[in-house]
Amino acid sequence: MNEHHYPAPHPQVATAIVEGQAVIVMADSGNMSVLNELGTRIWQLSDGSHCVEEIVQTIVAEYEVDVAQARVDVGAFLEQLLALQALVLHEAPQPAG
Amino acid sequence: MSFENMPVTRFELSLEIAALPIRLIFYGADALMQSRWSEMYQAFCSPNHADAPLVEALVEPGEPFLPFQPPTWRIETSTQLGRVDILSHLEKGWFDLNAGQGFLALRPNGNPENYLRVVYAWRCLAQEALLLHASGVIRNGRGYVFFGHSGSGKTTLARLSSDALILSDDLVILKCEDADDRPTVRVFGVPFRGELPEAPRANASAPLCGLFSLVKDDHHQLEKMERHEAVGRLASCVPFVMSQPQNAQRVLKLCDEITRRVAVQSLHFRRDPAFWSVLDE
Repeated sequence: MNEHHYPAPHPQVATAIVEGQAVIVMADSGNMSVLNELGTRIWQLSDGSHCVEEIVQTIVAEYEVDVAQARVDVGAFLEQLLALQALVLHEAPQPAG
Repeated sequence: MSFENMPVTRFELSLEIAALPIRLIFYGADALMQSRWSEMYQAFCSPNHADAPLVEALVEPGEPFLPFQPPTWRIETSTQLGRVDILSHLEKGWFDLNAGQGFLALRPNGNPENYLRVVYAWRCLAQEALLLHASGVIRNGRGYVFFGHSGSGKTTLARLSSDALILSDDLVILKCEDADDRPTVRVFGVPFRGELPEAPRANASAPLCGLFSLVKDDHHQLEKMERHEAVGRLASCVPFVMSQPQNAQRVLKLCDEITRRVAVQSLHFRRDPAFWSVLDE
């Protein structure tokens, strides 16, 4: 993964936002995760229309965190979701919906 | 497909489970099978629903459809264009949700239960209801549902509820409804059993008063559960339908709605009936 990739939900993923927190289900495996507030925001931004660097910059603006730290944290979190097969990476922005 | 002209015995079961009827016509079932299945499903038999979905079932000897690999009992499902294919060791069939018809092949020591479990999981979801991996009881007119994965204690709690009507120790159906303009959830019994095959198969339902995620412990205690966690835990106990992302999305939506209507709590329990004292408080 690099800063120019566009993360998007895996086609086998279902999501619900419940009281501000994302519940994600990997339909293939039945695995399920509940994300915290920051994780939910990163998940919402990982809609295929934002590249990794844009996600980092949004998190920096919204949470007033250091950009270097945000790159590390966002990168690590996206890697976790990729490992869970909750996300896929695209080389170019994806159409909405 | 029809077996009406085949020179074999014909036996019909007309069932209604959670207000969802189904007709099963068996060809080739011997007297013992007929007697066993009549007894098993007795409480759920209902007068013929002429327009109910129809499943033709053929009992014939042969090799298992899927090799046995103890201790696991496998049920494989796949779907395409509204048709669910079901494969287990002694049963193989399909059900077309749009056409409302299906076919089941059974080996002589097979049983329609696995097939019905899958079919009802899909039919429930189509009707905005959920088949949930849970045990359920009715006590003093109120429904209690204890959910969790295999080994979590569902059967244990059913066994420890001697003064309650057991709906099932393995699966129940939840359906949202509005009673007296009040949004509620109703729990329905099913004729499916886990490790309590001897328990009566009660065809009953009740307003649901609580959903309890099971935690084995050395004491009895109720713990509040945040709703997002409750939605995740409930959805993880919905069998057979989650492999399709659009279904998983519907399940999450239904779990969201159910948890708005009924509280979900963690029930820490040890192996004695005193857990009811914390539920009764």
